[in-house]
Amino acid sequence: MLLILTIVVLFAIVLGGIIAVWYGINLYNSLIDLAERVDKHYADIDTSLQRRNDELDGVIAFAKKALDQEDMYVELARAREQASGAQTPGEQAAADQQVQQALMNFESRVEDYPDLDGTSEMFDQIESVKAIEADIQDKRTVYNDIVTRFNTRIKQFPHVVLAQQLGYEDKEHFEAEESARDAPDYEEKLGVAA
Amino acid sequence: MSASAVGYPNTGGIELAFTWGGAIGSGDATAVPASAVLESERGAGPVPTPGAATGLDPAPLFLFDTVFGYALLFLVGLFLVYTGFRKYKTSQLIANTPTQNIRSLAGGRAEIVGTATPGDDLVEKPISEGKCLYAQYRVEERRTIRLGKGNKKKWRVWVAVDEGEIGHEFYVEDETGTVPIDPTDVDLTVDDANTTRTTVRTDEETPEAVAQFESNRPDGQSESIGQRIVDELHPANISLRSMLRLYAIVSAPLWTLVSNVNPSKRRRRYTEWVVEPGEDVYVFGNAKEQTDKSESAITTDERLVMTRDEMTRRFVISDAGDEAGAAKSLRRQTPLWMGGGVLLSIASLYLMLVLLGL
Repeated sequence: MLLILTIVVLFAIVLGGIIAVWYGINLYNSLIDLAERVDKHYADIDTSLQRRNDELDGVIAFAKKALDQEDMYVELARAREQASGAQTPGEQAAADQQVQQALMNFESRVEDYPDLDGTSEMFDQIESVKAIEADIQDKRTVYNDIVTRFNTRIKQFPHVVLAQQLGYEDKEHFEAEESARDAPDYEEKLGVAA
Repeated sequence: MSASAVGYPNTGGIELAFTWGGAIGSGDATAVPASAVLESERGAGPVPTPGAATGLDPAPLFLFDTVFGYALLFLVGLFLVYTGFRKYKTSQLIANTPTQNIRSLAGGRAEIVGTATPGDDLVEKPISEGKCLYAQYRVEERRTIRLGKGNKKKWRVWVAVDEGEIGHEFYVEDETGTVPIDPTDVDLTVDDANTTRTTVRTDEETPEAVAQFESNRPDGQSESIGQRIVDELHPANISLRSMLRLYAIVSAPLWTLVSNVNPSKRRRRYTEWVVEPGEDVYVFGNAKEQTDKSESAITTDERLVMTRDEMTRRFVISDAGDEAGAAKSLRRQTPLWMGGGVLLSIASLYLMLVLLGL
């Protein structure tokens, strides 16, 4: 009977050890997975920003061709340039805010030239930019969500031990100002009834 | 993308796994791919007292009274531990995946919440009346194993004889968009309201829906055991589920030998788990680019389809309606499965060693 109990206790210890090791491996993998998810969602935003910038290039190219006054589109061109140079989430959030503002101003001014050839085509492009902006807004929300999860997780026990070993630090949120979180109110700006 | 019916290959044989922690009752359709609920029942006549037969034997022991039986239980215990692992891991994956608006879904692992809506067509519910978007079902047969001296001790066993899933492609929509769902190989979790269980005896009238289900159900036994083993071992089919089906196929002849059914009182238990149209659902899987999408595809429903995520081997659909509910349900089950598995494996190891006379 002693032998049986010894074997059973040994088995329980081994099984407990296996579960503990598995738990440790799972903690590690989960943390790595979460960090990868943060990078993945950031890359998703980058892809959408690139699409948005390409569309903006189209709008600016049209403006250069159709409008003789440079000041009509210079603000938009500058904002576009600044958006290209933004590196960190914070810089990108600020640049996006400027792009949205510039696009809104540009659209408002173009309204004064209803007889220009191809105006409708350009407004289609502007609509496309606005759709991508909404997409970016969604992706930012998701990114901020997962960054919050990551930043919380790496401070929680027992993840904090592994996070320190892996050199993980807080990731940066997209820190847009509260007023910039909502899409610009184009209708109000253009004086159009919703 | 055309809608098509989906289904598991009919396992056909008799499968062994133990329900544990009320998993079936809680409506977890995937907690146990196949089940055999063991119930003890003392047969007529006196039952030998432990040690009374010879004065030396510690028997009768638990369940099968054989080393093989305890070895089987030992493995089942380890399987339960593994299932607990898997559920915990799934809850972690869910915790690492934020819910996205459907409008901005990008390809890859994703989770969404929204309202389930029909695609081209609904499917008939397998067991109960009416139609649904997607359903899983299990058919079990009650068998009796006689044990002990003079076969006076009986064990009643629910043995799964068939399980599967049916469903056409359906949609999930939120306030930003719609995405199609390809419901194949789903880890379905639904509450009791979406679970139906019916037990039918051959000497009782069979409900019409069940009779219709039985007449439409393919007969898994029509294919040879050898061919079914070859099918399950095909590299494209290998998965945990295929291993379970393989076990079922191989063990079926054994169960036929050790158990029997009274033809006049045969009992079959039918269980279904369904997703109803208009229900709020949570979906975790892979947002995959549609293979037949057009060049001009822009919206999510034109570009993507939610399928099983092959990297994590998960495709969770839950009527919990949000991430917290789905993850909570899985986390709650983890200690039950793992704890139950540890206790079962330790107890069966102990009893096996006692039987071996160490």
